[in-house]
Amino acid sequence: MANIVGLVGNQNAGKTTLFNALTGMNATVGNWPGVTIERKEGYIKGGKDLMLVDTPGVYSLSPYTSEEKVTRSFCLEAHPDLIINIIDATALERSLYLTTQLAELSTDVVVALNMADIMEKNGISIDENKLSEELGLTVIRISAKTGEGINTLIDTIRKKTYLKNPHLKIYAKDVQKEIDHIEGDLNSELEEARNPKFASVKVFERDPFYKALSNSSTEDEVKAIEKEYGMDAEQIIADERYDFVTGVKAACSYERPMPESVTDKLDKIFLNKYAAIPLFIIIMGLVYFLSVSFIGSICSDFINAIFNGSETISILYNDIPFVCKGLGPILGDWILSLGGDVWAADMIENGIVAGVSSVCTFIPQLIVLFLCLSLLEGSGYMNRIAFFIDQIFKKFGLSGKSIIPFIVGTGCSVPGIMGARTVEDPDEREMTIRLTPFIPCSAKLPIIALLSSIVFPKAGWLVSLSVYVLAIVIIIISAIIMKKLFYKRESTSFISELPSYKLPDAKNVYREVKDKTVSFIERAGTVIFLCSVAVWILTRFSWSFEYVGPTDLYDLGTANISSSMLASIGKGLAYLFIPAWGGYYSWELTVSTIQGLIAKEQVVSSMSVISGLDVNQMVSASSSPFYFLSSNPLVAYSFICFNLFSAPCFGALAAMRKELGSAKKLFSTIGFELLWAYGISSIIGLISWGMNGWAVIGL
Amino acid sequence: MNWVDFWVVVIVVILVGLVIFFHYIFPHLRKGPSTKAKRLVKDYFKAKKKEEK
Repeated sequence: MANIVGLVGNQNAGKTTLFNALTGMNATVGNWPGVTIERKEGYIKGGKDLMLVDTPGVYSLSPYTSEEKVTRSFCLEAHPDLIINIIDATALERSLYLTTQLAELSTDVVVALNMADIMEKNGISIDENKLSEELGLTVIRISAKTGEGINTLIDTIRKKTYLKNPHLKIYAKDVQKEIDHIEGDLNSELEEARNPKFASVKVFERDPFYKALSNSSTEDEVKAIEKEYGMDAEQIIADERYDFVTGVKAACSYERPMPESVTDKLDKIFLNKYAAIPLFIIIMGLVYFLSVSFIGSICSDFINAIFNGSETISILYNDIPFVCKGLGPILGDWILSLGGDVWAADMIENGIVAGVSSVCTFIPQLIVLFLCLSLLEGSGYMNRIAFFIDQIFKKFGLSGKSIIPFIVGTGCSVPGIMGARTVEDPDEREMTIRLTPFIPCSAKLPIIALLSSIVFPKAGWLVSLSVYVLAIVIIIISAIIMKKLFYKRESTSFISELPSYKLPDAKNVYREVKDKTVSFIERAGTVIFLCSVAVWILTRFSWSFEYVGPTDLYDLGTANISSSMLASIGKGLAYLFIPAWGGYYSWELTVSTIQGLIAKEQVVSSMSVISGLDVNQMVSASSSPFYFLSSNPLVAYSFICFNLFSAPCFGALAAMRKELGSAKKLFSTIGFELLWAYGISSIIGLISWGMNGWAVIGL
Repeated sequence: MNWVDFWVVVIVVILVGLVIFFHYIFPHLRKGPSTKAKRLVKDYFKAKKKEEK
C-alpha cells in the first residue's frame, strides 16, 4: 500500500520540474505560473510505495481560484502522509508564508529549497541549517533543473529522517494564548478539527470554512484583540506571519549587492511601453516566417514527396524510386499490377494515403512552430507579454491572466480552455473559455499554410501573422460586446510574478515539442485516417451505392463525383456559402469546411480526397475543384477566416462544455463564433464578389 | 470484385477496426487505479467535485 506525498509550493517555484525529477515522468513544465491546473500523480523513484501528487501553485492556504482550491482541499482533507514544500530560494520571503501555514498542519513537511543554482548567480546565500533550525523543519537544498540534491531528498523521504512536529513561534503572546485557548476547546470529532493547530488559527481568523468550530466566548476574546491591534483578525495573523518570515529571512540569508541583471536590461526593452507590442508582433512574424514560409515549407516538400512523389525531387534523387514516385502511387500501381480494380487502387492512393499525407505534410512546419513557441515560453518572454497585454485587456474587460490560455491555445485549444481555470473571476473565466478557440491552434496551421503559400507565395508568413493579429482584434471586440451585454462586473487585476529570463531547458523544450508532435501524428493516424476512408466512400459512391469515382487512376476527369453522396449533401449547404466564397457555388469547399468540426486538420485532408490531388496540386491544378482559390486571393483569405473563427473541433467543444458547465452556454458560444466566422468571411467574400461583377459562378 | 479488391477491402476494414478499438474503445476498458493510494486520491477528488457541484 503506497503512502501519499504531496508536492506543494508557490506558482512557478519549479514543482512540475521537481515532480518529473522525483518520478521520472514527463509532465508539462512552463516558465509561467499556473502550468499545473489539475493534480498529477506518479511514484517516487525506487519503488511503488510512495505516490507523489503534484498540485497547482498557491501562495497561501486561503484559496481564491478554483485550482488553488484543489491544493487547499488536498492538504486539508486528503490527509497526505508527507508534504514536500518546494520553495523558491530566489524569493524566500514570499515562499515562506505558505510554509508557516503548512507547518501548522498535522502532516509532516519537508522543505525543498529549489533553484540553488540561480540563487548563487543572483548573489543570494542561504544557510539551510539555520533555516531548518528556525522553521523546525528539514530543509534540503536542491536544483530540480540540474538534479542537485534530488537523491538526498529521495533518501530523506524514504528513510523518514526528516524532522517532525515543528513548534513555530509565529504569533505574539496574547494572540498565541487565544489560539491555544481555541485549540483546547476544539471538538475533535469534527472533520475540520483534524488539523487542530491550523484549525484554531482559522477559527481566530473567522474563516467561514471553520465556522462550525467557533463559539461565542472565542468571539468576544478575538474582538478584544482586534480592538487592541486596531485591525481585523485575519490581518493580525497575516501581519504576524510576515513578521516571522522577515525575521527568518534576515537570520538565514544574505544578499550581495549585484550590478543590473540581464533580466532588468532586457525588461527595459521588452516591457518598454512603446516598443513592447511592436516587438511582440515582429517576434510572432518571425515565428510564422520560420515555420510557415522558410524552414517548415522546405521540409514539407520532402514529406509530401515521400507520400505522393515529386518531379523536382525525382531530378535530385533519381536513384531513390520511393521518393521519386511516392508511397501512394507505388501502392496504387501495385494493386493495379496485381489485377485489382481502379476503385481499390483509388481508395488506397487517393483516399487513404492522400488524406493522411495531406495532414502529415505539415508536420515539419508544426515542429518549427512548436519549437519557437516553446523557446519563447521557456525563456520567460511570454509571461512578460501576458503582463503587458493585461494593461490593454483590462480596458476591454478581460483579465491579463486570459493571455496564458490564449498562448497555450496556439498549440491546442483544449489545454487552453482548461487553462482558463487560472482566471479567478467567474465572468472573466467564462469569457476566456468562450474566446480561446479564436486563437489559431496548430490544427488550423495546415489550412493557413496551404492557402497562404499557394495564393500568396511571396508573403505566406504575412498572411499567417495577419490572421493571428485579426484573432486578437476579434477577441478584443468580442470582449467589449460580452462585457456590455452579459458580463457587467468590473475587471480584476492580474497579479503575477515575472520570472527571470533564462535559457530554455533543452530537455523541457524537447519534451514539449515531442509531445505535441506525437499527438498531432496520432490524430493523423486515427481521426484523419477514419475520416479519409469515410470521405472517400462518400465521394466515390452514389446513394444507390454505384461507383462514381475515376475509371482511370491517372485521369481524375473520368470521375463523376458531383453525383456522389457527399455532393448531394454539400450542394444544398453550398447556397449558404455563396457570399463567403465570393460568389462561387462550391459544394466541395463547403463540405470540406463542415468537416472541420470533427478536426480542423480534416479540412485539408478532405480537399485532398475530393480533388484526388496532393497538397501541392489541390489548389494550383486546373482540374481541381479548388482551382478558383488560386486566382481569388480574397476568397482564399475568406476561406481561411471562416475555418479559423468558426466553431472549434469536437474535442475543444467537449472541453468547453465541461468548463462552462452548461450546454446552453456552449451552444450560445458556438452561435457567437459562427456569427463571427460567417460575418467576416462574408464581408471579405462580398468584396471579392463585387470586384468580379456579382455573377454566381458554378451553379 | 476480384480477390485483390477483396483483400484490399479486408485490410482497410481491419485497420479501421483497430483504430476504432485502440483509439476509442480500449482506453475506456482499461481499469483505473490499482493501488489504494491512487484509489484514495481519485475517490477523494470525485467526492469533492460532486460536493462542489
